[in-house]
Amino acid sequence: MRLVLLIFSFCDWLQRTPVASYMRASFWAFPLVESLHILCGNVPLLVATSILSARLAGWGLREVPVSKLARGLLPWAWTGFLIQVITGLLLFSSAAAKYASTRIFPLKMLLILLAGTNALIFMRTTYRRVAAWDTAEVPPLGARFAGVVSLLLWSSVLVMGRVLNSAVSLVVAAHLWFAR
Amino acid sequence: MPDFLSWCQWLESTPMSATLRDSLWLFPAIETVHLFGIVALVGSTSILDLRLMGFTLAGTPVPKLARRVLPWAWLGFGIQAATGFFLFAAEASRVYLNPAFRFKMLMLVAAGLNALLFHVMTSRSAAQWEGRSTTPMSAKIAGLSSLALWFAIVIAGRMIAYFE
Repeated sequence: MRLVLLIFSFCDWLQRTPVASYMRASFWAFPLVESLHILCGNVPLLVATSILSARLAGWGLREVPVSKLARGLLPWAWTGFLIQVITGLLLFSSAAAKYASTRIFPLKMLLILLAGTNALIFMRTTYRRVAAWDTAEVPPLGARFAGVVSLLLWSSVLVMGRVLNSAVSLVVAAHLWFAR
Repeated sequence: MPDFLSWCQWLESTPMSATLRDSLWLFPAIETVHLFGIVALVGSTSILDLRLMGFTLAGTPVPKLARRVLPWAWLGFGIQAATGFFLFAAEASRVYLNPAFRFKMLMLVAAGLNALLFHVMTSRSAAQWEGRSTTPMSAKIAGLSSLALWFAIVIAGRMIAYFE
């Protein structure tokens, strides 16, 4: 209960900041940040994690060593993630309490947390012994599992983002309709 | 000049378009698939563009990378064309008159021409590319134009929702 209060007082503070007011008032700010959230965040993050996931699952790029692929792709995934967090926070700030009060928002955050946990567990266990299976066409079960789970989780995060947008638009539309 | 506007009005009067408008989840669902299409299309073309500009994958020959990446770009484009048609059909005449939509279509044609021009220019000299890590200036320009055009297309696409 205290946590909920804390979250909503944070949201209340956040949506009163000048940045949040600007996000609401400007015609271009929200759609531009939204586009960057997709272009510079979603695209590199999802492309990098999907390619690595496909290799881990044994579906493609079988001739490329896993560690070489990971070294090439992970910086793109991290850059994408960082941009997602920054642009996501800007979008969220515009109507923080409204976003936080939807059922979708906590679900999206939970899915991101799960995707992170999945990657962390994989890096700490199966990937520790990558030297033993680096060039294997089909990686061990732990890696295949982590790959498929990552693909499913990051795809679900994208879906939740879209649903969140629709959910908040519906709330805003309803408010406008009742305010007529 | 064919009468596009009356075609749009006919399109949005079809039962299919009415279903798209009336359903609470159908439009956002198609939008979500359209978003996955962006990831496939912009993701795959960006990899090639960055390689052409000389930013990444210097060890992979351009023709080899193109062979790997272009099927995904075409798959993404197919998804975009199909889902885009349904999104358009839901509110055809509003979207047809929308300045962001018109700009998007113009940029799409430009992106297509850019890709075609580059393909025609390089297909003759493709043999010389095999095994080379650096790219000529024309390839750098083509890569940068393609990247910029796809960014403009996505931003314009998002703007359709914000213009009346």
